[in-house]
Amino acid sequence: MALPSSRDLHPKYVRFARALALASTLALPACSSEAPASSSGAPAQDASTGEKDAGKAGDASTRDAAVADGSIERDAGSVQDASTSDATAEDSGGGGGGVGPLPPPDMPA
Amino acid sequence: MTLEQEYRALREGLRRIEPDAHTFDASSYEPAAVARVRALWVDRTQNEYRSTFVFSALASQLLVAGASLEASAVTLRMAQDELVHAERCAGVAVALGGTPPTLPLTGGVATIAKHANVSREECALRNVVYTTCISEMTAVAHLTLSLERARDPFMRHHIRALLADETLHGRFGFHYLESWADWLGDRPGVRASLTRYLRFAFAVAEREFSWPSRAPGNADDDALGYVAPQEIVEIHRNTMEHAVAPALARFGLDAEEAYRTRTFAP
Repeated sequence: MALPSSRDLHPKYVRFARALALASTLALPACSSEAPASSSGAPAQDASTGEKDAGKAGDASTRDAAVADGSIERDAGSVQDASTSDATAEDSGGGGGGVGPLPPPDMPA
Repeated sequence: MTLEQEYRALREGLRRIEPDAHTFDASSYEPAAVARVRALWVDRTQNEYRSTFVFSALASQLLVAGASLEASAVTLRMAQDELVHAERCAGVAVALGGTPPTLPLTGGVATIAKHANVSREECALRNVVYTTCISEMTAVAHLTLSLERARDPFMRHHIRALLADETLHGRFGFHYLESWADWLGDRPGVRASLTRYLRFAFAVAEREFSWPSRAPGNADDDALGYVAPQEIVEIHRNTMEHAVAPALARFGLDAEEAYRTRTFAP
């Protein structure tokens, strides 16, 4: 059975996550072939900028956040859906806000 | 000296983002949008507090596994980050008009897998990969999208503060794998076992990040950095397929195949 695959291959949050993940590993990959132009038509250099920054020595977390911040600032609003909603306050809540680590599961024997 | 003074000093030492003087002005946004975002930050408060259990338990497993002093200390730091995040999230919820959440929260203790049938080294590796490479890298992507949307300066500051820490949490697992690369390189059986675990772990994580649909946000929600719950699973899939699995593959794990064939079957 075919499992769901991602529809949008390279939104900026993925490029940033990919830059972080790959910059942390033993060998940096070439990044020029994997970052297409964004949906707004902006050049794809944001990802390579992020990758270089994330790959620098030292604690780069503050800079990483700024890279994510800055790179997406230039493309403001490109992916957001500005449609209106009838949602009410009662429609809120129920999870989905968590950004902490999930408890790792035991795999059945 | 008081515990409060010590905590404040600790919190200051952990801080990566300069304080910001912006306050929240609810009158700029429709009340329903503020309520949606407030509920999200209340949920986040509970989630962050509970996350402390995860990193605390993980730190113990790293010590048992013989991890480096640095790796164990950074894991304890991440546990402390989560407590500070809980306090921050509670503050945001209050600024958005919520009732002050009471910390410490009671109940909801999180436990982590013990993987009794594998070595202590592999047990730690499995749990590091799940908590950081899989779970926290999803958080990085989630917060990056949230920051991309947010226009409110108060919200942007607090989202950035969380993201600054999550970039460490998300990368930790890759650095940890790197520190064990020689050990892993000598053990093809462990690499194969880790890959089998990844198939299961990817399936579990996808289920955990699959939230019921809510009404999509409007322009005011976007300005406040709202990411609708149903968007998170797509963020997770994108991040696993294009960021995490390729990076894990560099350690001799067949992670991309594991992601494609993810399953709950052992």
